[in-house]
Amino acid sequence: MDDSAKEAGHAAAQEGVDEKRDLSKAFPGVKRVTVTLYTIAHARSGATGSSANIGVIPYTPKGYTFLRGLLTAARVEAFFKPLGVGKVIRYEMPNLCAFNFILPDVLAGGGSRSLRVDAHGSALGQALLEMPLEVPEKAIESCLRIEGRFRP
Amino acid sequence: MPDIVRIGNAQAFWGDRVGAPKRLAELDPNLDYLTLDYLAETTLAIMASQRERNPELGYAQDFVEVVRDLAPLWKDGFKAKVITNAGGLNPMGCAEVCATALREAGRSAMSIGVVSGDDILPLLREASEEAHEADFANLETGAPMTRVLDRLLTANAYTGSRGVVEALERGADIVITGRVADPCLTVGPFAHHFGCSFEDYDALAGATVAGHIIEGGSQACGGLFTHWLELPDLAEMAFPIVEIEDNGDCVVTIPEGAGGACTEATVKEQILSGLGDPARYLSPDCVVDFLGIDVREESTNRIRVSGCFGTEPPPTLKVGATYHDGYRATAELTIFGRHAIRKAQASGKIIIDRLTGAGYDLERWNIEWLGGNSSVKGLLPPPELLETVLRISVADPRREAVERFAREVAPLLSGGAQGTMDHAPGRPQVSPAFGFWPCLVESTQVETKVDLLEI
Repeated sequence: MDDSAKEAGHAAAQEGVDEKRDLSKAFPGVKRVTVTLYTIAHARSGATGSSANIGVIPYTPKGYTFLRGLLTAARVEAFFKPLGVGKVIRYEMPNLCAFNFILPDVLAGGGSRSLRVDAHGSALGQALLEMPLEVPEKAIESCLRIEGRFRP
Repeated sequence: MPDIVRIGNAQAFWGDRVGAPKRLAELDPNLDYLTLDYLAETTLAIMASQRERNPELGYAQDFVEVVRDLAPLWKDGFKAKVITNAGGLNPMGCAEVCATALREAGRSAMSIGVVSGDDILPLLREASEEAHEADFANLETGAPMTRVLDRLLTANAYTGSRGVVEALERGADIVITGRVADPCLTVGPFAHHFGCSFEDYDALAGATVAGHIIEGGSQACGGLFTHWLELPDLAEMAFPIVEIEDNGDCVVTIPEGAGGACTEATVKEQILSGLGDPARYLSPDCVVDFLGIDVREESTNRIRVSGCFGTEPPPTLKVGATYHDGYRATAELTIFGRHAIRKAQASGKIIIDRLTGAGYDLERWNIEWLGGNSSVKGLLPPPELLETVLRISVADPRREAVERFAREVAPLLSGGAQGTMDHAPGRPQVSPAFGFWPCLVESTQVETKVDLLEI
């Protein structure tokens, strides 16, 4: 198996997990509030060639659990569709309480070729943090940024 | 207290703060090594065009100023050795100018190690047609190299730490390299300090991650951080230091008196920066598995990073090649008043239509209305704006087409929307554009060379 096939397999496996855990469809009776991703995670994006990656780091383990279900590769791909993104891959990094999203072809040629003001994908992480998410009202408290721990 | 090697970084790219190396040296006189990274994907293309005009150039000239800055500190007992890829396409040329600068500053009994061999342009030019079709195909698109062969400008292999280690073993105080891979500027001094074997993949992986964290300069300690605005003393933003143990575990820290902050959050953001598959981070020295990494605050501004695993690197090295890719220009006009975004869109369309009318169907163009969320066009709804910046960027293989574009912008100051303002003097500049071509080469085809220049 070559590397690309391996990656595709890895991505497919992760998506299987995503669908089973899509919490927005489960527990229909639970009261939900809409927040932006910014409320429960921080992020960093950057370029590699014409692709970009976005590291998404929930503030708490609870936030990681929610985002594992809510912030699927498919959802991120749909969000970035207007920029011409290819098949998005999500890697889970439970050890860092983080996700790494790979956004192929999102930079219209990348650092050297792109005609966009954001040729290097610097804005993509900030843009993703504006994504609205539905989170159970009771759970939101346990996903927030805790002042002190994430000094200053 | 375990033996540690203390390695700082004070330059993330060519264009970063020129005074940063001196500042870091003053704030932390006990550094063992100072790494300075000057090379991004197309930096070498820029160096190539500078060398075309003057064969003595082709390196990061800012570094010579850094050497002049550091010379008096070395005289006063600063002991850190400097490892940098400032050599670019011409490491020996860079080293000779630095040697002169050191002599002028009254320094003697120093030596500069020059690591070269990464330039494989002749190899690519002379390779067979089969090799161009297959071996050197574009890693991203799969396209054969024949497509850009006649326009190739540079081709450099991302090489590993061995050349840096050899230069240090031979007594170099400053090591100037070509396209050594960014984290290897840190792995080199680590491996030299501990006499680390190049088969000790876990230790190499730890040092590679330490190098990955500091190669982005301030980005490890507050630069680009999501909550940047909350950090202390932004004007004095720190550059980071790693204290690496013999097993590759490290503490990321910043010097007392610097701005920014080193927290679990800033370090995690930087670990994720530019990352692909976290189970397979490819470096010329090893393949790193990030999925065991633990990031923990030890005390204020001291973040411990441990648990990196490594395996043998693949038999190939990544190559970054660049090629001539026509011409480009960017124009900006500020537009103030009602319906600012619609006015900007209409103004942009006028320019493109006029070019079409003049017989120039441009290969590529992009219109943005800054302030209206257009840098991420289509992702978020545009706000109602009274003021926007119209930005038009075009590219075409024909210089005259792009020059014609440059002449079509100013007329909008009289024939365009009321409230149109020109804030860049003169016509937009037409510049040559460069493409980036990533591919692979067999490691055995790349021979690292180390020379020593005595002062």
